[in-house]
Amino acid sequence: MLPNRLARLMTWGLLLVSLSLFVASVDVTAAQLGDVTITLEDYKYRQNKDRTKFVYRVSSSTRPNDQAWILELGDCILPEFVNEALTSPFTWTEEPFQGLRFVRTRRSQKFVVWLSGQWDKGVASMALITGTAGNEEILIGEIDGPYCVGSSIALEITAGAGISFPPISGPGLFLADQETTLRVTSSSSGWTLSHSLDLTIPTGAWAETVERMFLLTMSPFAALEGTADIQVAYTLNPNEEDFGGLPQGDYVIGITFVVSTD
Amino acid sequence: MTIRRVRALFLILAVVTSVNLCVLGVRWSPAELDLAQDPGTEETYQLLLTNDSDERVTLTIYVGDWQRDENGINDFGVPMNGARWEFTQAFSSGDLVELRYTVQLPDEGSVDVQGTFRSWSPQMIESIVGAEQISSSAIEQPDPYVSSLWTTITRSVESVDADGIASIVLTLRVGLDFEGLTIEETYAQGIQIISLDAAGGSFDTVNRSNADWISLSHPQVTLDPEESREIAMTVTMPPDYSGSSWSIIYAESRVVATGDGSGTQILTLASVGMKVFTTAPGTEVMAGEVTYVREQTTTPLAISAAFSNTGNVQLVVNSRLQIIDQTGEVVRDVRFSEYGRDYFRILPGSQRTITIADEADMPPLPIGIYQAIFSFDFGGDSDIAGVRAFRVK
Repeated sequence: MLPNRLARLMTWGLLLVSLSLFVASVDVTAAQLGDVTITLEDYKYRQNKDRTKFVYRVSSSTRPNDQAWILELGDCILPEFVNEALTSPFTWTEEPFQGLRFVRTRRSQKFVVWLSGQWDKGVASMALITGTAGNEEILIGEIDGPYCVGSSIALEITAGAGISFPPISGPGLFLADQETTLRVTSSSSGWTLSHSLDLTIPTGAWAETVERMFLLTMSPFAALEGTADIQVAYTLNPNEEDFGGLPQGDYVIGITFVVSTD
Repeated sequence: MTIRRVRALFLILAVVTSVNLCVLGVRWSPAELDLAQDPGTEETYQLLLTNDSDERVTLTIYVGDWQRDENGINDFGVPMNGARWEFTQAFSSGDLVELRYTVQLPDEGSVDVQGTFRSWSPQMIESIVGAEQISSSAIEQPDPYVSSLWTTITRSVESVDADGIASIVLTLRVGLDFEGLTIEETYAQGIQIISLDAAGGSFDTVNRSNADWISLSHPQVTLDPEESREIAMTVTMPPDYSGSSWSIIYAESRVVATGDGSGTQILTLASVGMKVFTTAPGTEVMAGEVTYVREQTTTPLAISAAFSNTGNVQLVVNSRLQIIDQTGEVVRDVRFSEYGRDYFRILPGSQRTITIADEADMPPLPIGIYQAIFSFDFGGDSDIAGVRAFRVK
């Protein structure tokens, strides 16, 4: 749409760190490139099939001649995500940006894009290329399309609230009444999960005694891309000597679970 | 002992997760930031924080330091703008131990510092006494040894040279016997700390921290379930910086719940850290070296190698082990992988040790002499490799 859009896109590429983090707040459901109007007619996620549909209408007052319309697909969208059987005939392109290239043959033409999975809608680049190789005119603009939200990492404690131990009646092994379930969701592999303790104990109690007899065990997990559930079990194993450091009172073992990229 | 057991009957010990929440969750987007920013500039970036809990929660946001150890394990315990010493050995009453390190004073010529130390068993936590402002006017020789029942650590400024490098001495005087010790020094601002003599303990600091350059728009936010909030992060790069620096921004849920009638207070904490790297464009130096290659065992075969990042940016390293027999035949050709990735990441100034071992069902190497070639591709002009000959008997 703007003459310098391509240059701006290249600049964006260099600054891709934080600038692609958010879905744009302004919808662009219709745009003009020269005398061509592009409209996003439909956007839908089919949960039962786990795929997302984008339907565009590209229209002009005159019949197109050697003209292609390109819809940008961000770096997070791989070619195999495109459902070729359901998507309008296309070729995968890397120029002027990664995306799908559709050939215009009629004044008003509908292009359907089906992507596997659920995709947010956000501002995507598009291009209209007229002419043949070496003698092309390129117009670039923006339209709502499949959007790469960007990477994210999350930690949830999905179960295991209010865990407590039975009264400690003597030396031995005491199991907590239930386990905690942690859920880590990461857009990349290689994340790390750790924990730290913060004790609140009665006056006269030794923190080292509590730390020594407390054992936290995590189920094995693979720090891969996607979602991982981790079970955390707790035991207390005091010996007779430990009781000397455990006066009567309320004890709280605060556990901070920390997740981050590697 | 009987008394202790009776007392123990009344002991109520609770482990924490949460009482009044079904799901407690925090999400950062992006998962990590790798920023290119010119020295001497100030830039603001938007981060997205989401409450994935099914309740309204308050999230505390703060910056910290981190590093990776030799095994690639993340260490989040290094104090921000500070240093940590750890000792595993036992100390006896009357012991006198001196640790020495230097700091580069800022332009104003002085900097404040606070420190603590913690013995592991029996456990005690105390503050470090002595000079709390490091400057040339604080120069003072350590006190002569005075016997005491109390264990103390005293900080003294030994000297400050013309370049503003202050030499600090920490003097540990042991009152009662104990085992294990952690010492932490925390400065009021980012400052380069170099250990001169760790007295046999381990020393850790993050000299390439950018934590002090980062300011956040919100120290705390309260979010409804599934609500997201943009957090502005402003990075002020110093004028004379080269290479990369890093830190981590935590978003931590803190839920204070009432107890179950026994008076027990329960805290639940879930924390997600977003690592932030800042790199001065055009100043990157990618360099590495193989510190050693050695065979751990020959049957089954396990070969270790250490790779050091001698540049000034984080490296992403692919590694490969080839075993060649006396005829020149390659009898093993294995690529390193962990966490489903075929690479590891290593911070500048760090060393990473990796071991590649035969799978359990692999036949052992026949008796003979072999050569192990451990090669590393870190994106430099060419791979580097370490070679080790070994014999299988």
